[in-house]
Amino acid sequence: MSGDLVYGTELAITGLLIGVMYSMVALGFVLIFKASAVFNFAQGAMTLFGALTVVGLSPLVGLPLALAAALVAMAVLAVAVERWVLRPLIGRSALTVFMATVGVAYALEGLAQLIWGNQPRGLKLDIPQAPLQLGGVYVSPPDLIGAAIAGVCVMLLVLFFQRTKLGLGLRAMADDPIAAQAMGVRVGRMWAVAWMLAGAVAIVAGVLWGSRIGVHFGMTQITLKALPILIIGGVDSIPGAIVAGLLVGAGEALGEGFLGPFVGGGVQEIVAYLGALLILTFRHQGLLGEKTIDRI
Amino acid sequence: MALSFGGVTALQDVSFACAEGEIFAIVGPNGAGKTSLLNVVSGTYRPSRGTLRYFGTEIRRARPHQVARLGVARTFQNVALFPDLTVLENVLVGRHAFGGAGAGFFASGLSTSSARGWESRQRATAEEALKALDLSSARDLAVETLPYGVKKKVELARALAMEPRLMLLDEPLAGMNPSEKEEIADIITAIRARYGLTMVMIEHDFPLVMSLASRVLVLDYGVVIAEGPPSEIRRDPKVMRAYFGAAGGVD
Repeated sequence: MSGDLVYGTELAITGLLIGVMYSMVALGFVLIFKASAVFNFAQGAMTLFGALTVVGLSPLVGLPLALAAALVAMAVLAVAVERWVLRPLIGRSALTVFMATVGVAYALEGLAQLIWGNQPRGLKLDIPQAPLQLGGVYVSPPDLIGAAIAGVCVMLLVLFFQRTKLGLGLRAMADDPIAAQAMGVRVGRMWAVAWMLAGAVAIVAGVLWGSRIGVHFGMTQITLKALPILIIGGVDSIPGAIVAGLLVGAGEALGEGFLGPFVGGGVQEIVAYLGALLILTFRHQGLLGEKTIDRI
Repeated sequence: MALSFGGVTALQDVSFACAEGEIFAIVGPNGAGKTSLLNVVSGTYRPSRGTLRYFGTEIRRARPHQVARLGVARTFQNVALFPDLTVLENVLVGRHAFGGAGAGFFASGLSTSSARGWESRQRATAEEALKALDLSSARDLAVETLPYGVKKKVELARALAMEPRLMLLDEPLAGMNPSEKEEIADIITAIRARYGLTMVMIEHDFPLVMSLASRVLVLDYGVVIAEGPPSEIRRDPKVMRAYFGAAGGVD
């Protein structure tokens, strides 16, 4: 293989592996958006809170129990949000509910600070760091394992939606909430389930991200990173979030690697937003999103 | 069975009761409040005053999913299927109130194995509902690709899968050609006979209503202007005026 090709392959693989994690973050948003048509600003704070809980507890009780505790915390949050935020706001505009999720985000950040303090924490997952060589191409084991975990999560989600009663209820509600209620589907419970799933996804994303860059309050910025991915993939499409995450990951790595040297770097930072801009101009519902027609 | 209520803004002192096992038709011109009335029964709208009883239980304050879980199924005027789901999945949603409801969602949802059990347990009923509407061969098709008449049948199958005691049908024959209408009318009669359920039906096709229903309620401007068996309704001058704009008989 020529040097450029090997370099390009390495970049693409690294990018795709990081992209899987982008997809995880974006998925959390899509899950809630599909269930309740709300953009959940608190997803970043949930990611931070989940990661902090795992980091804070794992030295005390071990990683598996820490993960379980974080899951329980997210389940409690989901039920609380449904009961005290979503239910009282039934029938209000999407913007009102969005603002409420901004409130949830700050409350959660405050709570995280109260419990865990505001020092950045490292997260070690006992993954060998030395790059593996596969057919002349170097691959980073943490990225590979991270991608594998994210992949398994996505598969579990697909199974959940295809095979379970609650998954079916969520899909029905995403299609037509009024008809779903007329079939006996409990909308409040479905919202809570969607938030729980988003919480579980946030924990996985938080732990994976945290193991790369450490767990700190900058993590809430993930919300901003996910936004262009959601726009590219379509905010209501699970496959869209996955595809867009991969595209952005690969685009960033390849862009930075090949174009970066000519323009003095920084390509990585803008690839996602450029892509989102193009999508908004030419296909505003996203690559795989539903085309919607708003009646005026 | 007593089912009575009075007074929503769109409906003034409307009161009626239907007997168990009958087909009760609600007719009236557009905007008369027929769908509103159905929405009140199904819990979508909450009446401002009055009572609403279902097999003796007061359900005026019940929410739609609670009403559904009591055994009230409905279809919608503008087909309200779940477009991203297959025919079978649509019908399976009608089983949502069954199996694992009391066990909470940890038992019914988060564990795949037991939840798959839910699907296989509910599947038999769902298949039976499909069969009753002659839809078995369409089971795995995407709902969106189906013609309108078939969609209407899927909606009926979904309602039937809920094993309801009361079925609310909002214009089940609307937009169909005469042979489709006849087929659906036959199915409605067959379902009622076979499962002994009570049906409240809104329908515009006057002759078909007259042949299907055992009793008819006529609404106009949110007020009941007549109630009785088809033979009486057919001769009621008030009905003729409201419905056809002129006095005269209908055959």
